[in-house]
Amino acid sequence: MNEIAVFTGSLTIYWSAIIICLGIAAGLCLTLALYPMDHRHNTAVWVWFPIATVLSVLLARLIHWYSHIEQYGSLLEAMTDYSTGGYCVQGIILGAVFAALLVKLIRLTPTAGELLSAAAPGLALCLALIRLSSLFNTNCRGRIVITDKVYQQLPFAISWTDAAGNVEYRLATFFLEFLALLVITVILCGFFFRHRSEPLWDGWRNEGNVMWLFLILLGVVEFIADSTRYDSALMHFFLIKRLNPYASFISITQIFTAVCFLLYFIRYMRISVKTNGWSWYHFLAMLVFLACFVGAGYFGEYKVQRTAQYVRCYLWQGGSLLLLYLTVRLIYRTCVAKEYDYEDGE
Amino acid sequence: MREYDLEEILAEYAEDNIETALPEEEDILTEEEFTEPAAGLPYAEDNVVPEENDAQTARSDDAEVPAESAEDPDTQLTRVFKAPKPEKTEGRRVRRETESRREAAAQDEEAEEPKKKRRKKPKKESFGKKLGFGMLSLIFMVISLGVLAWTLQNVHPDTSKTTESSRSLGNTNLVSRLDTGLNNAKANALSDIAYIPKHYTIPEGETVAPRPQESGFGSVTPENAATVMDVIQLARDSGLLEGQDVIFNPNLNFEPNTNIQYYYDETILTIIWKELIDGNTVTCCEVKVADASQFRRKLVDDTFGSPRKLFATSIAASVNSVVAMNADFYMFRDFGIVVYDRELYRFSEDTYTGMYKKYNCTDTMFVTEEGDFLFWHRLQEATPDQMRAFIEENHILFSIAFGPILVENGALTPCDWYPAGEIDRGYSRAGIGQKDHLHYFYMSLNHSAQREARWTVNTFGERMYERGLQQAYCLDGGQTSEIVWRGAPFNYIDFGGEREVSDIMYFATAIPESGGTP
Repeated sequence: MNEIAVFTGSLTIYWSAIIICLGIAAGLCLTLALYPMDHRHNTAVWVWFPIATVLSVLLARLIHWYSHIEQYGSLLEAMTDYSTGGYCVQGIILGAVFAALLVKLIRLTPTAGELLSAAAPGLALCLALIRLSSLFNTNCRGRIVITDKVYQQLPFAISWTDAAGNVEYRLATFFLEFLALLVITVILCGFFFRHRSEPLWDGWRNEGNVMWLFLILLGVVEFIADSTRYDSALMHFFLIKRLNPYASFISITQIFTAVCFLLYFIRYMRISVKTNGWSWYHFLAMLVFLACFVGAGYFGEYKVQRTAQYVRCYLWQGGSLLLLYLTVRLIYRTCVAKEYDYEDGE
Repeated sequence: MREYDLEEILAEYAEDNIETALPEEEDILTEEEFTEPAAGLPYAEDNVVPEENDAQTARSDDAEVPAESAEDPDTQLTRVFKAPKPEKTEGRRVRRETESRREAAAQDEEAEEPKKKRRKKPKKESFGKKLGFGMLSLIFMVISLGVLAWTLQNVHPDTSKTTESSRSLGNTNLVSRLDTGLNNAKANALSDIAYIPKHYTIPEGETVAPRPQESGFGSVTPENAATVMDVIQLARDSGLLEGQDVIFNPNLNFEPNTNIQYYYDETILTIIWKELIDGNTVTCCEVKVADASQFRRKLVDDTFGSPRKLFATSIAASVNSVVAMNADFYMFRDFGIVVYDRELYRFSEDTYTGMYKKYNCTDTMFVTEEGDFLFWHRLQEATPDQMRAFIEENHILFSIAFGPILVENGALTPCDWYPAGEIDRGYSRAGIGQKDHLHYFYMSLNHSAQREARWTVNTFGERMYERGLQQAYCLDGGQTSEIVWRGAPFNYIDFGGEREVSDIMYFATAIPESGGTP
């Protein structure tokens, strides 16, 4: 399929750009629908949206430049010419968070967490469509070659014709991610309606809990998807580059996932310990957390590369991440004042 | 706590005709229910502004509402909670506090007549405030539309090559091309009288080589290794070998149960086999090409810096290689001198000078347009300009940055320390050497299920040297070490499976697929 949708004179619009804009617009609409449910003014969303979009593009490009320095002539070139090059989705999340903090700073929203909680389902929907847009460029191909004819079609595989005319079917990584993010959108909407203001013990603030959930769910999906990609964004350690030039090995997505899970875990573990005191399950949770994360990284990064036993490795990785998710959610549940059968008062 | 008369409040609401969220009927408390909260009966305390020490029942986000928002009636919507029941799962501190609160509440209630509670009447938003919010929304709505329009036109990741490689098509040597054309025209014209070998070449700007002819491939068992000598003789007769000796010998200690493979046409002779050396399985490949353009390098996407990595078999298939091998996996590390299509792409000046030089510099192998190997030693200093001048003067096509140099000008070059490749450990190794003009030899040593022992770099260098090579250079080893023959790995790859890489080297036939004139 032709990548270009509209070509008139100096104006060229790509299909992928159209899908991305549709995703952004859909995310905005969803946020506009959810945010007033706590009787807030949508002005905050309108102010947040353009700032978040601009910051997202800037940060997504900055991270991409950082991990693919040699693709760009210079930082200035990377940050001024957006018609070529790539983006990292982690920048979108950071952009949305920074924009919410700015909106909080000008006192249009009582808390950034509240705005982000309303925006989380919209962000998930937006990311889903951004991933879908990759069907219209050169990106939606995973590293796994699909040889079984039954699976040589969407949603499993997408074809690729190389320069010599050979056709190869590879895992449709981004399309699968698109489906997963759609499911996450639905989950987050449900969570938003039922649990967005869940009270915690001892009056701990629970702002932004929908956003927190989004971050860890996104982390799970991205962690697995990144491992199946053939163009992962890798971390470069400038400070130790001179002594360790091999450092471009760890994926930025994996670090992002680790940070999200760690922040979530620390946040709710702290509350849980303060309200309930240290208990055996806290130590168990820490052990399981560590083991699961190491396991997910080992199977998704090292073992799969070494052995190419995809099904086995991704099952182990998926299992580890599921256990990790359950662990942090269980810790969260110990913080929720569940005896208060909260009902939405609207 | 303030107390209100429920009926009075309800009447107020009815008068104002304000729609607001009232508690459901079952949530409105009876007197009896309110006096017995511990029994688990519901009570409403939604209109109570949270006190500092009353955090258990307060909405956390309400507690954070700023002053002006707190006055907003919408922000003070009711939240109905059911009374807490002491359970085992309840936090210890919370249990203590809840119980004390219950006792205090019971004492209060004994002294006072319990009354129904009410919510505060919502205030209407002032017109000015509404106008302000409306204007702000409108302004940012317009900005949002602008941002979306900009995004539509500019944000389309990876729709085109991120960095176009600057294929230097303008550097064609016109005299050489004219010579080639005249030679082939003469060969065609005099074909009935005399044999004049044609000269084929692959244009430098071509990203895909001609597909090899299926009839050119052959395979023999080690017992019939002498048959390969017939093919070699054909190559000798056609002038392809230019009178050079070959490394292949039918008396080598071949690995049992593996065939010797070959490919021959007018422009390329390739022989590939496995043999046992010191009890290790070693894969060897000897190649003689007619033109330097048949020895090529391929980066994924033909683009330096492309983040994509593919199996060597996929890359080899995409360029119609006769035989392909791993190179330096340049995207795995940040150092080394990388030249591709005559352009200097990677050369970090600061890593080639100063105290860190030792740790970041590798020996570099350059391949000239004549197909010769040129080495740049790792402690040689240069500026980028000097390096560009070197590339231009020597007509460098591409470079490989791994190393170390194993053999230079026919002499073995042992290495004591090197920043890449774990040279002192027994490890899977790969290397390429030049025996003569356009005559190359590739060797790889991998472990296998039966044979785990492998070589250090110096041992590997000695084995390469024993083949009579003039130049030899070590390539990336380990799981990267791979040689691709007819679409599949020919050697055993570490861990039993291919690894994605960013680049390969390959040899191709120069005979056009149509079989037409070169």
